[in-house]
Amino acid sequence: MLDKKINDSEIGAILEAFASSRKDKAVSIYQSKTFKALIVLCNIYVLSFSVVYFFLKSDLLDAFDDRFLTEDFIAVFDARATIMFWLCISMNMGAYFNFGFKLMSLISLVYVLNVTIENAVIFSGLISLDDRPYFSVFLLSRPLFIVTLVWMGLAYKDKLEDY
Amino acid sequence: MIKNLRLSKVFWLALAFTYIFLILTVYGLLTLPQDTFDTDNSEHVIAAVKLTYVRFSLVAVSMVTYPIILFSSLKYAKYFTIALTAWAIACYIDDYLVLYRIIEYPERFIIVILQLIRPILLVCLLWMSFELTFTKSKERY
Repeated sequence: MLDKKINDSEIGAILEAFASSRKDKAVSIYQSKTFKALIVLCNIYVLSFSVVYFFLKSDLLDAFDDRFLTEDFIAVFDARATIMFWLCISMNMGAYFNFGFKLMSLISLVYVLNVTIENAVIFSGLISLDDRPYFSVFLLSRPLFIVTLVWMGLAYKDKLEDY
Repeated sequence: MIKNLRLSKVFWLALAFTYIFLILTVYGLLTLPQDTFDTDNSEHVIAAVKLTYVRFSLVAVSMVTYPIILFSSLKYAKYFTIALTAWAIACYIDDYLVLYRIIEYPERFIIVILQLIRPILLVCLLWMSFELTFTKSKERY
C-alpha cells in the first residue's frame, strides 16, 4: 500500500482498456481522397484570393483601374476577406477534429451564396469584367467554389451525425 | 398535428415573431412613399431597397416552404432552419460591417422599428435552430 507507483503490467492493462476507443477515434478521422482534394482546393481558393487582395491593397499589384481601389470597395472587400478567412479556419478545424464540419460547411455555403447575390445586385452596374481582371477571375470562379463547398459537405464522412 | 412535433411553446412564439417581422417588412416595402429616394444619398437608398427586394423574394419562398418542411420532416427542418439562420446573420453582418458605406435604409418609422427589432429576429431563429438540434426524441425522428 505504501508503494503507489503503477507497474508495467498495470500500465499495459490501462492501455488495453482504452485501445478500442483510440481505434474508434482513428477511424472517425479518416476521410476519402475526394474530400481531401476538395478541402485543399477550397483552402487554395480562399488563400490565393486573400493574397491577391492583400497585394492590391498594399499597391504591390497593378489594379488596372484606380476606381477599383476606392474606399467603399476596399471596406467591402476587407470585411468579406476577413469573414471568409475565419469561415475557412472554422471549416478546417471542424474537419480536423471531426466536429461540426457539416454545419460550418452549410454556413459557409449560405454566406457565399448571399455574397454572390449581393454582389450581383449592388455592383452589377458599377463593375466591368474587362477592366478588373483579378476581380473578374474571382467572380467567374465563384460557381466552382460553390460546387466545391456543396460537394465537400456531401463527401464528408460524419461520425457525429447530429452536428 | 402541432402536438405531435413535441416542440416547446417558445419555439412556436419564436416562429410567430419571425412571421410577423417578415409580414411587417413586406408591408414596409410595399408602402414606400414616393419621396423616399429624394435624399442626399439616393443611390445608397436605391441599393438598400434593391437588396431588400431580392432578399425578400428568397424570404417569400422560405415562408411558404418552411411549414411544409416542418410538418414533413424535423430532420430536414433542422438543416433548413440552420441555413436560414446563417443567412439572416450573414445579411445582418453584411449590412452593419460590410455594406455600411454602400447602402442606407430609408428613414421611415416602420423601417427604423424593423431595424431596431432585427436582433430579436436573429435570437428567435437561433432559438429555433438550437431547439431543433439539441432537443430530440425518438418519436420525432
